[in-house]
Amino acid sequence: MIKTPANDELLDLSLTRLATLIRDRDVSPVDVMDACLRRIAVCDPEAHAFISVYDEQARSVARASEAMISAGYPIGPLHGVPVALKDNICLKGLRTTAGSKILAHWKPTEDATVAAHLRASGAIIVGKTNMHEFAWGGTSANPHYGYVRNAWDPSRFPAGSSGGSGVAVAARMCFGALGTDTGGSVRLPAAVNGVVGLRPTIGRVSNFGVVPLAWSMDTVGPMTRTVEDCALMLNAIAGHDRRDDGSASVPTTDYAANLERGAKGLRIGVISGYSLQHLQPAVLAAITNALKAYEALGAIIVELEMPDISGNVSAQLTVEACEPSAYHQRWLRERPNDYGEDVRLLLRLGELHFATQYIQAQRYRALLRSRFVDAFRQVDVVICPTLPFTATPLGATTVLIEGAQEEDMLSAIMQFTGAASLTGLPALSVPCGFDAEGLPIGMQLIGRPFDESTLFQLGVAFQRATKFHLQKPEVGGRLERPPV
Amino acid sequence: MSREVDAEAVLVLAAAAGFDLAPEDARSLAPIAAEWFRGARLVSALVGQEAHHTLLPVTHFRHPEEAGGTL
Repeated sequence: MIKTPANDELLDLSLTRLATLIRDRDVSPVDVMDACLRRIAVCDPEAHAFISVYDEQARSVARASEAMISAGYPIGPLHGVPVALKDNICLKGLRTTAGSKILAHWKPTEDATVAAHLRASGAIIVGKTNMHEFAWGGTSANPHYGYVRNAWDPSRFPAGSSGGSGVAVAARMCFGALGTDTGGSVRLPAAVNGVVGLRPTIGRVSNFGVVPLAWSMDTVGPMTRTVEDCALMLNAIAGHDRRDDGSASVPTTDYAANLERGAKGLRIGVISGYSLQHLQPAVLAAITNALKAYEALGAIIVELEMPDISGNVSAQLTVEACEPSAYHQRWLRERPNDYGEDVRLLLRLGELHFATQYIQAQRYRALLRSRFVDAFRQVDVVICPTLPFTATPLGATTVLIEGAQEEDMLSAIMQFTGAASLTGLPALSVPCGFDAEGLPIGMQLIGRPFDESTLFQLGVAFQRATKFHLQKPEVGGRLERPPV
Repeated sequence: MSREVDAEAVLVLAAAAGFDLAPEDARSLAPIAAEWFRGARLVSALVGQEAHHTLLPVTHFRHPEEAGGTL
């Protein structure tokens, strides 16, 4: 019989530490799964982070996992670790709704490649997480499965579209989760819920078996509480997939290796008029402090000029308007009332665009990518906030950033995530502070294509020097009390 | 100066795209369409006619060295 620490201690372990303890038979996968399911049962009626929870199946797999590890048969690096998938990632025979009414009863006939990879690495899928309907939006205010609530303040939004995954990880309902990122949908909820989120290089992770939003920008990405955990999850899901035409046939590396190389000598680019512009004061302070922390660690801060970046939000909106409207064209005509109001409006808006607008936006992507390729001759990464504000009240459609001018949420939320989405570059969101109300702030590191390792290296260096990632949301604290 | 997109223009565009739209939906869409189209014009101005930015390969880094990669 494997001995196990108390439940609270279990849930606070990092994914990496938990995996080690399970492998060493110091922790039982059954006890870990019980703790997660108990946390979900207590927390999720308010958080709405999950659409489906596989209680029975997850417990059964955890028992098998314990039997195998006890017999000396570890399946892989994530043996026995409870994880969650955003509900636009297919699991064979289990409904995959994409947060929609339209797919409410859809049961795919195949697993998504990333789901199969996670299972092959030994992870146990505890459930599927709530999201913005069809991933087309940044609030996770889902009219069909409930508004997802922020892990740090349930009266606030969790961002999106992978809001359920961000909340599930932050509130310790699982140890890691997959989201999908088109215009920022992994990085935004990671930042707003105080966890780590990676948008990998486009093509690095297979999209096979994932309900698309905008094909040319979609990618799956991991969300975890530490950077090491994120690297471990990327190890499990990265790689070429012949079933995905957009998959890159570029060798992977061990992303969890050499994480302790530090920041010394690395060059961090700050884009003039962009990286530190148009921010809430607390966000500006947090990013400024992060730059100081990196300088203290021996990194070199380099100022960059990139005036063309001014078009990034509009280009992103154009691409993100048009591609989903092509995918949804038939449903939009046959079942318009089965969409939530906001998504129906956006899909109709996409249909109004002209071909030349879409083509110019695609050409802009090539221009922007060439600017970043030039920049990476001077720097190793580019830094900026993940988003310019902290969590807004639930249901808000506008936001105050500077002064008294209310801004449209969708445009404002993409201010810093669009560049990596348009260029296909990898980007890592790392917790870097809190505002006066205790709401998390995230910074974003954008790297060279396929150079996720440098992002992880810098992320780990920051987490060694700071303790933001170790702070727990109050909701987690309340949940540590036994369920009533 | 081109005319801004209004509800009437949205109804025409929707008809051209082949779907029905209630007048109140057109009114909701019009200011958003106007703003997004303004942005699209900005993007067009940035790429310009003289620039040789093509559609391929826009996003997929199949050859990382050529794309500025480090492998």
